[in-house]
Amino acid sequence: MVLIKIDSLSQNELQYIAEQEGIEDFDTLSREELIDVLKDIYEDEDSDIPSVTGDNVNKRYVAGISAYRGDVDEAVPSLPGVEELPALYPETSIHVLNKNASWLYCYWSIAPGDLESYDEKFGTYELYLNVNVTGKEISEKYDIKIDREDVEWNISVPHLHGECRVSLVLQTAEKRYLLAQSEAVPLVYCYWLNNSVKVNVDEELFVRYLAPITNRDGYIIPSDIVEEIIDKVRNEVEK
Amino acid sequence: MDITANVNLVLHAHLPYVRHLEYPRFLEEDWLFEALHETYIPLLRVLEDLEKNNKRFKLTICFSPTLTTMCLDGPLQERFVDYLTSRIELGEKEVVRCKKECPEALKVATYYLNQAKDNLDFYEACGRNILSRYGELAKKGYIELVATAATNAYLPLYRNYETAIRAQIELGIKSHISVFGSMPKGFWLPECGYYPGVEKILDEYGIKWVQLPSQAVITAKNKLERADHAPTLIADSNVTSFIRDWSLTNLVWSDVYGYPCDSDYREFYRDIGYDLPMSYIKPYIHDDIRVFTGYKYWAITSKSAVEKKFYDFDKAKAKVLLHSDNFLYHIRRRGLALSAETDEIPTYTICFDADLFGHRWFEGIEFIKNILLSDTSKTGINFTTPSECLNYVFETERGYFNECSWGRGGFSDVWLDGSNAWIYRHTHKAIERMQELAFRFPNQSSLKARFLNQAAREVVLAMASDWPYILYDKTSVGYAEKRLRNHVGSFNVVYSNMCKNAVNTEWLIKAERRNAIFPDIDYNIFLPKNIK
Repeated sequence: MVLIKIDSLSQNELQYIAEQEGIEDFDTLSREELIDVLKDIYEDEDSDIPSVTGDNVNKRYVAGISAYRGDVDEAVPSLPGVEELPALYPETSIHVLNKNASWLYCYWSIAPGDLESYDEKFGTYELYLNVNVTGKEISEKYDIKIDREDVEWNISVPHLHGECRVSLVLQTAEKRYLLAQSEAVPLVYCYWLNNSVKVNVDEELFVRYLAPITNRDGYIIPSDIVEEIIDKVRNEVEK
Repeated sequence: MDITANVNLVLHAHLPYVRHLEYPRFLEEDWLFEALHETYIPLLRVLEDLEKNNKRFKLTICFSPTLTTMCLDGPLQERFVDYLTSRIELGEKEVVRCKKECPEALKVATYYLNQAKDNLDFYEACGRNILSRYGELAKKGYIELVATAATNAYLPLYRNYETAIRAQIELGIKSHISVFGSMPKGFWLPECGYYPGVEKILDEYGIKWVQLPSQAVITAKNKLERADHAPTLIADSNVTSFIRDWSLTNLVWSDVYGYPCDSDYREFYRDIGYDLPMSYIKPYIHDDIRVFTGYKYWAITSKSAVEKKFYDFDKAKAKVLLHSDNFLYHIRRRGLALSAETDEIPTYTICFDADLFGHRWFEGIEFIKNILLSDTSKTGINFTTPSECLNYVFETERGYFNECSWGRGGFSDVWLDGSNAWIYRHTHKAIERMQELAFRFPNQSSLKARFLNQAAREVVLAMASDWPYILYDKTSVGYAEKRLRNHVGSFNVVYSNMCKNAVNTEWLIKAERRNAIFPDIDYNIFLPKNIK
C-alpha cells in the first residue's frame, strides 16, 4: 500500500502512527525500529491478497431486543388479534426465493382437494420438483423427488448469467403433469468469477477492491462468494 | 491540510412498531424507551450543543416510519415519561444505597439519575416531540434526513410482489414528508437489502440515492473502476449508490474487534435489574421478569471476567478520545493510500444502527461528538452527506449489482433460514390476497374502505424484517411469532369477511386502535400497476 514516505517523518509522527497501528511499545522504540515496524505493516498489506475469512462476527447490534423475556413462548402475555395460521393454504402453488448466491429456497403447497383427486384419478404417482436453470452458456434441467408431506426444499444453483424456475410435477407411469410453476428468479453472476484477470491491470484494481472489505486485522468480510472470487483471482494471478 | 477523504456518516434509527395499550406496562415497549433515553435524546442534545456553539457538522440519519409513529404517539409519550420518572425514582434510591453499600458505584449511579432528570426536562421542553428538533437541524443543513421502507421490510424477499414493494416505499416516503415536511432525497434500504430492479421503483418516486453493502462492488455483474471509493449509479437508473465501507465500519461495529469491546468501557450486560434482590428491584422491572434497568456500574474488564471492575468515567473518557482519534487516523490512512494510487479524493460511507451509540455502546455518543468535532484542516477528513456529495460528483460509472444485504454472508440467509422461512408462505399469501381484494373492491369508501385499509396496514406490518430477524437471533421469539400471527391473522379476518362482502365493525374499531399506524394508507396501492 502506498501511504507516505515513512523515512521522512519525525519521531513524534512515527510514534503517533505506530500507536494508531496498535504497536504496544511504540514509545520505547527508536526511530529506525519504528520505521522498520511500520514498513513491515505496510509491506504485509501490499504483498498478498488476504485469504482468510476469519471468525469475524459482524453481528447486528439490535437495540430493541435488549429487554426480552427469553425464548419461552408462555412468558409473552396473550395479545389481542393473534390467530392461528393455517399450515397450508388451499391451493396448489410453488414459490422460489434467493437465499444466497448458491442456494434457492423453494416452498409449495398442494391443495388437499387436489391431492384427493390425484389419488382417485392416478392411483400411484410420484411428485417431483423440476429445476430449470437457463443461462447464456449453460442450461440444465433436473428433477428432485419429493414426498407428498414435503412442503419446502433448498436447491443448489450455479453462478451464471441466467435464471431458475422450479415446477411442481406429478409423474405417473405414462405421463407427466405440471401442477404449478414458480416465477423465474435471477441467478448470481459476478464479473470477477466469470472473466479472466488481466495481470497488472486488474490486479491493482482488485487489491483496491479489498480495502473496504478487509478489517484492520486482515480479515475479509464473511461471505462465501467473496471468498470464492478472491481464491479464483489469486489462482489466476499466481499462474 | 488538504482534504484526503469525504465521509458520509449515516445512522439508521429503527424499531419495530410495538404498542400494547391493552396492558398497563408492556416489556417490549421498553425497546423504544431505552432507545429514546439512551440514544435519540442524548444524540439530539449533543447535536444541538454543537449547533449552539457554531460548530459545523454533517450527519445523515434515517428514522423509520414505525419509530417516528411511536415517537409521536400520545399514549406512548405518556408511558415514556412514566419510564423516566421510574428511572429517576430508582436513581434516587440507588444513590442512597450506593452511599452505604457500594460507594464505588456512587458516581455512576448519580450520573444515571441526573441523565434521567435532564432527559425528562429536555423531553418536556421540546413538547415531547424530538423529531421536530431533528427536523430543525435538517432545515439548517446540519443533518440530512432520509426515508426508508414503511416497516423496515427486507425487500429482496418480496421482489416478486411489486405492489408490496411499492407500498413499502410509498408509505415510507409519505410518512417522512408528513413528519419532517420535506421530500427525502435518500432512501435507506432496510438491512442494505438490494435486488436488481428496486432502483427503478425508487427512481419513479424521485429518490436520488441509496446505500449498498460493502461487498456489492466485488460481486457486481460488471467491472467497476471507482465504485470502491466513489458514488456509483445503479444500473440504468438515476439513483446513485453509496457503498458502505465495511473496513471502517468494522473498527466500531464488531463484537470481536470493535472499539466498544474495550475493557474500560461500560459493560452493557451487567445491570442491577439482574443483580439486586427481587424485593428491592421489583417495582423497576416487569413483574417477576428481570430486565435491564439501565443502572449498570461495571466496566467490561474482559470478556471472560466474572468479577467485573467498577466503571471509571475518566478511564473511559480517555479511551473514547483515543478511539475517536484512531478512527479518524484509519480514514485518513485509507484516503491517503487511495489518492496516492488514483489522484482522487475518495468518498467513504459509514453506516451504523443508531442505537449502537449510547444504548449499547455507552460512550458511543461521545465518540460521534468527537469525530464530528474534528477539524478538517487538521485531519483532512471532510464529513459530508450523500446528497451534498451528489452536488459535486460529475463523473459516475454505472454498477450492475447482484442481490445483496449487510447480513451475515451478504445475501438473505439471515432472514431466510430454518427458523424463519415459514413466515414467507403466510406473508406472500397475504400480499396475493390483498392484491385480489384491491382488484375485486376498488375505490371503496366509508366503512368498507376502512376495513380494506386495515387489511393493507396489517400486511405491511407483517412484512417487517424485525420478526424474521428476532427468530434468527433467538431472542424475543415468542413475541415475534405472536406479532406475525397477529398481523397475518388480522389480515385473514378481513379477507374472509370481504369474501362474504361483510364488514366486522366491532373488530375493525379494535384493530384500528391496536395498530394505529399509517393513518392515510390507501389499500388501492395493492392494485397491480398493469391493472391500474
